Amino acid sequence: MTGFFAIARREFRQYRVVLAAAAVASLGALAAPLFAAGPQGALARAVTAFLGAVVFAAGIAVGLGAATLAPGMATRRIGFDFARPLSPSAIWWGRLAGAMLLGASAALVLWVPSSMTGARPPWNDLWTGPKPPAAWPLLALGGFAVLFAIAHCASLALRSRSGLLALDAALAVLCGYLAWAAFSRLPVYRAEAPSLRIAVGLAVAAGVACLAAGYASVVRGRTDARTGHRALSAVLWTVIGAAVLCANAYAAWVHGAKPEDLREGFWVNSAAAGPWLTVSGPARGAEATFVYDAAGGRSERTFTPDWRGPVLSRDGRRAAWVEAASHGPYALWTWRLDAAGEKPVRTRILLESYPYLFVLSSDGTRMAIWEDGTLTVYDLEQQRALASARIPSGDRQSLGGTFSSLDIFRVYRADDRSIDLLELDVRARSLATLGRIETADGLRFFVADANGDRILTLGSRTLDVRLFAANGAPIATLADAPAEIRWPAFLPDGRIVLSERSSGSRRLRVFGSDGREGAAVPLPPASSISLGGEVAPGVLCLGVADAASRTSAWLADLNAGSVRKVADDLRPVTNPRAILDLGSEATKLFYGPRNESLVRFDPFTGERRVILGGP
Amino acid sequence: MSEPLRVAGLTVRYGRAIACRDVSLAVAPGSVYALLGRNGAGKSSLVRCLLGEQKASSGRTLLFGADSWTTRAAAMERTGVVPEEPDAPPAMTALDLSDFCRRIYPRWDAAAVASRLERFGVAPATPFGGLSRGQKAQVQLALALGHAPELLVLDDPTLGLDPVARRALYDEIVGELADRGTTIFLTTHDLAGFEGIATRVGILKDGKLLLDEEMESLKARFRRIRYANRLTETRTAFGTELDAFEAVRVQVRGWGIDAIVSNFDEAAFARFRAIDGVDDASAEALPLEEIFVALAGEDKGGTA
Repeated sequence: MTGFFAIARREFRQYRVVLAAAAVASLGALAAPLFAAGPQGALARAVTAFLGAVVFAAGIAVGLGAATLAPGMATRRIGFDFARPLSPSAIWWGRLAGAMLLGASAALVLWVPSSMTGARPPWNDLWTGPKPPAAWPLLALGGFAVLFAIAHCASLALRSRSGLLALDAALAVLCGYLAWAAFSRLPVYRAEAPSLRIAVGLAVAAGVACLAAGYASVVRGRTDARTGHRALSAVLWTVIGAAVLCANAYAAWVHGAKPEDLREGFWVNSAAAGPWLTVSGPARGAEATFVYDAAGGRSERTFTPDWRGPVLSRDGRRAAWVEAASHGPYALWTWRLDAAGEKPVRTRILLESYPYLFVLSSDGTRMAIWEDGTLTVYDLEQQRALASARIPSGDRQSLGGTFSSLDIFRVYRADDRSIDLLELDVRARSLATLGRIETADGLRFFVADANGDRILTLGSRTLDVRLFAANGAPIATLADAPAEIRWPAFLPDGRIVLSERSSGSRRLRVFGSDGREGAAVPLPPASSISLGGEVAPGVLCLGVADAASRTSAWLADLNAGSVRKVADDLRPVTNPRAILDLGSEATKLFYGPRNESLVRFDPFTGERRVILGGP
Repeated sequence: MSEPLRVAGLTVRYGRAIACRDVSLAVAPGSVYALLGRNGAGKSSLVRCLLGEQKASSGRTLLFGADSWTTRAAAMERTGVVPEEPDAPPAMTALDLSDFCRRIYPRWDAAAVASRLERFGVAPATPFGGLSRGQKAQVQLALALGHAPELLVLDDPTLGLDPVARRALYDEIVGELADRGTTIFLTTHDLAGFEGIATRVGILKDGKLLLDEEMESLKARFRRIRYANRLTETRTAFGTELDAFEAVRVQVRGWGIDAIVSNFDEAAFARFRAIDGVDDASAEALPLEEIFVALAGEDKGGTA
């Protein structure tokens, strides 16, 4: 260590004149407010001093890195240091430490006078990303060291005038390509954590590689630039090569996530009929979405954003999704689920922007897509557009829709008070306005039945529930007395159920398809209740959560007006806008504890099987 | 005491070019070894390998019995080095450099360094980069001797020095030899200057060690023989009369023959003089420089 400290001290003393230059530069920063008045002046001073300190330090790193060792090695002189009892470690790390000390001192000399006038690092004015960690000075020193090493390596490589430079360039291109390949393998959406891991890993590996390569060049090269160049190239590209290969292996691992890798909380959307569902959640560090066969275990990862995942036709025979990419055009994919061995197909349908709305017809042969204010209905078999219409949407408006038939697509353009009811006739290629639903109480939620013939609305304030016809004509008011909680849903046969808490008691109200009230089922006390599917005629599955968020599955007999608990720690898979077929496979799917598993549960036999996720 | 320095089968290659070919030599304790060679002969490559600053392509270089590539730092505690190109940090003064060395050598005699600098007339507070070439060499020598090394390696230390600086450098080296018996290994072009100091000489030519011999024996066996002859049709040609000698160089002059021989002995010369037709024969000792030129210079011009 004696040699290390001696060299570091000598390096600092040798170039200490730069501190005087930094002091002069600090006067410039202090004078910055002369050119900008008021608060801008203080900011100008802070920015000038801060950037000056950074530039000064970086300049020292590059200057000393390029000039402190490489020139002597390139001229094959007997080095002053190598003729002393100094190890290569002391020579390399000592010089680096001296340069770091000098760089840090120069930065402080430049910054401190301004900071004494109240200037603070102007992060918010220079950087829009996350605030730097508290240990940023250490990171800055690390960056300085890496810059020093890069400058040394580049200087030595260039001075060696070796043919190895061509190989270096080729390896740099190859490693750059492999690094890009690693990033490009990651999903476009919600892969921030793996991207950050790869970026940080590659940055650290590249930094370590440069430092180690610089060290190797001194250890092996000493006063021979070509030998030093060979040593540095061997170390540099070995470390960086290994890092990019590891990055690619990691990216491939993330990319290759299976539904079985969903370990944390995830959510499910199921087809109205059949075993197919879409399942999304974090898998291997990134958000993953799959089209998944809950019965057979087949799956396909769709690489779609979690806010616009794949959609399934009501009959559960077709899935469709729009491929996520960093920029358009975006390709539409479809997958025939009822044909064994069928693979997903990338259609010729390309979308300029990522669609806000896309809906499959009940049989999955047609698809309605709304993008950039235009609604288009496509024939998926022929992969061509059938009809389109301009449907502008305001900032506070949302769009929904459903196929009333193969040739009719109904559009709901809603804001917080009203719903515009539109209809695109594919055959006639015409857009018609059916009507408008106005709500005096505001609009919290609405849902249409499977064909879009009836619409249920839930008010914002009093939670009134009303039933309307497809043209917006009122059919019935299901509830208008104030309630604490209220939630409506259609049943497969057209009836309506309404979960309600009023005056502290909960009940489930049942209505006919015309809105006439039928039976009422008292519900157990609960913090929240979710409505599941109809598992048998007149038997509705419920998810009940208590105040401690413990869930349990219950069955409500709508005919007998009774409820019974059938399982603890289960909650039915629900979708507020989906109407599951009576007794379909999806009605038997439940979330396990803490949403960490998907369970198939038969509420009549009690048979329980974990399909995905934890125990 | 182990040999301070040994080179065994050293070969140094730079791509296809070979700087040293299978060079072997050894330096005994307390001796002064002068390695001579023309520019590009491979001297500096040999010295860099010797000092552990460059890895040999094959062969070994040993300092104090240990491989100088792997044990360089330890060997440098016992070795002083004066390089061909003074390369100390230019912003540092001689005193700064001495202070730096004080921190890294277990034994450092700063006073002796200061005293030498004073003798050399070097201003101690002048940055190294501001010194003349001769002064830089003197500072390097003062620093090389500051830890009383057992071995002093000088790589053409007088290159570019004026006569006064050269003389000061010789005096210091002679003084060092007289005081402590330091082993010295040097490469030089200044043959005259070191002739009186060197005890052993090696000559490198095109990377090969042509000669490795005690100075005394070398000078004893090399002689210049001059004579006129009547043996051949013209006085300026020669025939077989020099066969008894190994002639390194023979030149035909207007007055007769001028030959340098490498195996001179008095008895053979007496027989040579007795040859009928050899007139006015004389033999004279050669300075080292002439021996070097005869061996390392052009190939035997004018020989029969």
